[in-house]
Amino acid sequence: MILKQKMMNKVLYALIPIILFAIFLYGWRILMVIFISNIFAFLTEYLFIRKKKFGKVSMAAFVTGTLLALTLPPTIPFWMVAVGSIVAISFGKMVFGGFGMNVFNPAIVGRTFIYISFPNAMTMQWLQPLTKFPAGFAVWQNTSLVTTATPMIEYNNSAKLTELTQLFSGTISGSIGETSAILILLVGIYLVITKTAKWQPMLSLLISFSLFTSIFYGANPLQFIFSGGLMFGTIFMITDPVSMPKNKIAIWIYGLLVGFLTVFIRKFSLFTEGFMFALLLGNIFMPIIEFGLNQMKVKKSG
Amino acid sequence: MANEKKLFRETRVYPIIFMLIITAIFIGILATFYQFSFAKVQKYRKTQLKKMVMGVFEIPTQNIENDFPRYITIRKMEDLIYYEYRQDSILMGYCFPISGSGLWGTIHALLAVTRDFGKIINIEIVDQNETPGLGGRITESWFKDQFKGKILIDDNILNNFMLISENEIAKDNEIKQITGATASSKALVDMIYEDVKKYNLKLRADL
Amino acid sequence: MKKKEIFITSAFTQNSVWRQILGICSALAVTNLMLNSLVMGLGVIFTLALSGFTISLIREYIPKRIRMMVQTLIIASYVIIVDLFLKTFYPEISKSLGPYVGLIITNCIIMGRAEAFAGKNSPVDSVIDGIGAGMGYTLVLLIIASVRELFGFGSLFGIPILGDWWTKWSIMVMAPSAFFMLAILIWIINTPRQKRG
Repeated sequence: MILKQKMMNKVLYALIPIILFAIFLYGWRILMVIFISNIFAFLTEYLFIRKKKFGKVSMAAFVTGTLLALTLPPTIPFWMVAVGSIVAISFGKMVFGGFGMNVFNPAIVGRTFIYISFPNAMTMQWLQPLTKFPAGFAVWQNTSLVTTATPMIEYNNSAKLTELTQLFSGTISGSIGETSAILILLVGIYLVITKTAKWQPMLSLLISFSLFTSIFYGANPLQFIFSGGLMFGTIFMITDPVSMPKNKIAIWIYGLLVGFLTVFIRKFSLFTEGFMFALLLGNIFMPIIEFGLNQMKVKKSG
Repeated sequence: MANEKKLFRETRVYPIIFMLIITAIFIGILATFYQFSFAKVQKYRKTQLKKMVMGVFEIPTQNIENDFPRYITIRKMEDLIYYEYRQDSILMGYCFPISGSGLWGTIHALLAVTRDFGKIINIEIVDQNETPGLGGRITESWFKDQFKGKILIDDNILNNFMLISENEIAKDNEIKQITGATASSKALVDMIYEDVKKYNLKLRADL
Repeated sequence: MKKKEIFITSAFTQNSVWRQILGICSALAVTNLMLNSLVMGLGVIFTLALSGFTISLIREYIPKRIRMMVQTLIIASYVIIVDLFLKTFYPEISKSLGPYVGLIITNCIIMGRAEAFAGKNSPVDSVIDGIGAGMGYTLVLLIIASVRELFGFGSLFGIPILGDWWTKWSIMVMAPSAFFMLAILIWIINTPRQKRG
């Protein structure tokens, strides 16, 4: 019933330390969020392909489910997780023809849907992470509610940047999986070494993000890179092999475009987080850019 | 030319004449309708605007057609159309349109201030595209009413309001934001700041 | 063709929206509230019926080469009448519908019916066809609007249905959800038909 995909397995393994750290920060409820997200991802995909001849649920559904869960705030109600997961798989993936055909990154589609639908739940309630062992391992849910204080939101409101050490260690409030920059970075290195994820989109995204941050904000881009969901997006989202272009040059353009758009949206719109929209916009333009590049190649060789 | 006699409907002038006739008929019909509705539509628009301006200045009125010219003077400066509120020919305050970018589109509002720009009299949202139920709540009166009487310019320093959460108690320079719609709340506050900065000296120089 | 048959064909079996995918621009734009959808639907029914009638009445005399111009002129006139009517008597509704009443002119359904039906059939049949197509369109609008208003505001025709416990889905009030809903509707209606072959 489940199609085995080695690459996707590796991504899932790589996510384990991040999940563990999230439980440490926020308690066991996190695991339930991830579980619900995956169950609904599986069921949705199963409903779509159950009548097909060789219909098997792809391993990628679980990657989507897990990634989606990790981008949500730790206080997210369970039913919203389910909605996000269903939308992610059905509208992000299955309507395009299933695994391998999707134009957009399904997890991001799901997140965008609930982000726009339920801005209250998605942007207002954050948790102050627990830091003293056993911290979250001993509780179901961390209860130290804080309102509006992720580093990104704080910067937007008062132009105050969070300390780098804090951003690195992840003891800051934020979405479930996006907080510890150093952990995400290590996982990223693992993914690149095992050739599970390509380094080109990551690098091009970071280069363009840093460049445009320096231009638009006139500030050291380091703190911007490590705050918000950018680091998580760089390692896990933009590297999604399906929604990423195949052509090498196109990959570079893709990264540069998404980086630019992220900064652009963060700077000029009222949204605090730009990566999500930037990636979707990047996804939209990639097929046409790739088509253009291939045409150019054909012309040259012909 | 000496072939069979052509039917009139197959000649080249026929389509032109047909089009002319049918255009004339329909323009006639439309003109009649327009005549009938134009006055009413114009009147409605004018009354709406008058109501809004009077409302922003909080002038109680029974008969808007009589009271409007008595209190309000419409002035024009460059591209800006603004309104002056006079009571017994003493200038009480100004009302002018302000605008700024909201979450999904531009927010337009009318702002009324005292003659020295010292205090906000009132604010009214004219047009907005914020998320209904969230940012769209900037049109709700509890939110707008917060601005009433707030000190705008004190000692030549333009006051920039701080946003606080909905369940706190607002101090003089604070505005309670709409839960879940920080961006829209902030947009309105920023809009006031920017446009007052822009018009403040201009309008007062005209005094 | 019998009158009843004409009506059913244009309203259901050959529904302009879900069979011919026409007129979806306005179907996306005004469907966030039931009331808006209803008014929009009535405007389209009115325009369809009367423009169909007028075009059919003079169909013998319309020169072939300029028939599109004539049709557009007639349709535009009726749309302006609807627009003026709303502006005069229901300014509030007119404001909330925005430019979309005026854009009925560009609604492909009307031009489509004029070309496909009114130009070839009798005035009475054309009126029935117009009302049928218009009601089919209104039906689609109302179905989409009922889902969107219920999820987005928890109400129908402005009457609260779901209580305070309901979390409003902001996206349902905004344009993107209309794309989702319309796609789902077309999908649901057309899937069994395709299976039958």
